Amino acid sequence: MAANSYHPIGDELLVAVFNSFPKKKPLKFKDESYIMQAFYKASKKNKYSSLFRNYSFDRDGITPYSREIAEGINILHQTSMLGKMNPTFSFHFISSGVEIRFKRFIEPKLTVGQKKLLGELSKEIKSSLISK
Amino acid sequence: MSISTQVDDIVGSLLPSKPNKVSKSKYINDPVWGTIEIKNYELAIVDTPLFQRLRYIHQTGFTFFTFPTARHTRFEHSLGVMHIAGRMFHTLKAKHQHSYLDEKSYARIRLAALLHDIGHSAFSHTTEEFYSGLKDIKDLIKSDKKFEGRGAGEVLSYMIITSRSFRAFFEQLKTMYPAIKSVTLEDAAGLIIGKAKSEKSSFERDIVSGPIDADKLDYFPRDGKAAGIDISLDIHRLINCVEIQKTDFNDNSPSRNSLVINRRGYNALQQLLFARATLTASVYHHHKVRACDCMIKNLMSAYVENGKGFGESVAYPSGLSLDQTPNFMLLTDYDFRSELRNVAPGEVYHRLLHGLFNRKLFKRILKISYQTLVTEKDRDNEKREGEIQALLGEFYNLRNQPAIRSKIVEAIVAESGIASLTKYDMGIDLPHKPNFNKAGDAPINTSDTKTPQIVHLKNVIPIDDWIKGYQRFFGHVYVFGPQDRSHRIKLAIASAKVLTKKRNNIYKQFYLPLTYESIADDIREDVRKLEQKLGLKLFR
Repeated sequence: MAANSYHPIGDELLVAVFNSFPKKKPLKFKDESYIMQAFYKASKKNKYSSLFRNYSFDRDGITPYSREIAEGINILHQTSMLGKMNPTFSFHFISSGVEIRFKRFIEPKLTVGQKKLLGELSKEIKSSLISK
Repeated sequence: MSISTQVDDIVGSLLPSKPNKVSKSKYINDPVWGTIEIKNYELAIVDTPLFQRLRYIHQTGFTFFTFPTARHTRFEHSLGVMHIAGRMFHTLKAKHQHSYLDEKSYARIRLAALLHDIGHSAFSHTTEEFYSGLKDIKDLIKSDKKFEGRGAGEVLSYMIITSRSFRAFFEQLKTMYPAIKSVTLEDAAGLIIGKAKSEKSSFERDIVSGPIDADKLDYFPRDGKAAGIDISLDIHRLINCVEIQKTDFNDNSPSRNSLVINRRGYNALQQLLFARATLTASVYHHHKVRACDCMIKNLMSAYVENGKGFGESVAYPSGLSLDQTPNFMLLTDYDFRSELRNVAPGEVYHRLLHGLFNRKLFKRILKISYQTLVTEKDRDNEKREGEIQALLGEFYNLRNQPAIRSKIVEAIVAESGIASLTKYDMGIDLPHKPNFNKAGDAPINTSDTKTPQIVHLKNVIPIDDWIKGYQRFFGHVYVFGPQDRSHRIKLAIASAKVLTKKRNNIYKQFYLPLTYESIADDIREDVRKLEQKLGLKLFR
């Protein structure tokens, strides 16, 4: 049983959310800023506050910006866990690395409650991204 | 003692009891902008030890070890930012008839620009990255909503400006200089942490701390010029292309008066982004610059973890504790050079300081990235590629877990069997991504008519794709070690033993399938020979 003191850090929240996204089917959204927006919207909901403990948003700019989410997206790019299908620049795909990373490194640290919450967050982010 | 009390005490010690009376503005020569005017009240601030310390903090840390002329400091950069912020304001005033573009706004913007880096410490961002991990500043940022999402350096600048000592000093200035009589420090300091007084005055924040702010417009050409990197920039055109437009990108937020670049500034903006890309690739992320960063961070960690005071002196008989953020305000680059005299040869502190200041820098042992880890054979096997991606992701995420990273380094040193080495003699450098995203948010008015059409810069120029390409092909994680070649070869073997072990003791189920490609070029053959001699098969 994982300890309650664990909270996702770095790219872990993104991996946990994208883990339940379709792997082979490309996701269509224009650019990564939509990921930022989707996470920002979710972060404002009280029920997700424990998941967002290690993530902060600068709300003063033109659009909300989280250094931690940006760095997380960057890790997904650097490892090719999240990629774009050129040349349209609008279809994104998620590699099988996301599932492996989640199952092996993140899931064992989660409580049952956190898993449930992440499932809800994932659904919300998915519908937010796909509606774009 | 609370962090704000500590900051207040230090600010008090760096300010005169009475400001200088300066009769008129002065003009100075700047190699980037030519003649810069400094108002008399600004000069009274510049003339304090608090501001003068910026003369001894190099703008780009240790880059001068690789680019010898990059000796420019936070001092001239701060003056440059103030100058550019003032020019941006004048462009806006010439274009718009708004009553809020008044003298008070002008003074506030220039003041915030002048002081935006006042919280910087030795080697600029290198120490900032270190103290941003300290408990006192982390707790403060977490506990105060206005600091959410802001960097530790900006927060420290805000605290300095709003400290009781600085306010008392500024109140005296106000009585001496009528031009700033109605300027409030809280409003000026707020601009540095991205807070505008109202939606109406949001453009002020954009000038001081926005996607295309005066800071960037100064440091790109200044860093390029100082480093001798030939970049072409038309900042003057860019300044002439700023305007105020109402924007409402932020969901549920009222529309705000944002600083916008009009379509005539598009080419100049493109140049600016290209300059950023060039400087990142050739200067900021140069492996020698990263090696210096790694050494200075190791040095500071050694002081903190061993409870050693830094800079023992008459003023500080036990030295300064580097686990308290406000103490960094008392440090400049020169203090680190002087510290060499306070440490005994043979100690790790001496090794690192001597190495740094005599340019005996860490050298690369391993370079780790998708490019060096994933082979063509791996790419043909989706499951295998996914496995490596997952492991690499876990490795990159060590950036956020310094304690685990430190344990890995300790294990490597122990595995190497080199008795003279400590964990501070090597390091794993996980650089942050090039920070472009905020520039990508810059609003551009693409319309040529009176009806504005505002889009984000990233929708016009694919900044994200540049970062992605750069990071994938050039954004390596380096494992650094001491100059001694035989030590590096042994550390390469030890690193592989620790990192490639499938169930290592530090990190369950974590391993990195290292390839020969991931060994630094100059030791690759020798590592291979040693591996064979030991009868091991560590690399693929």
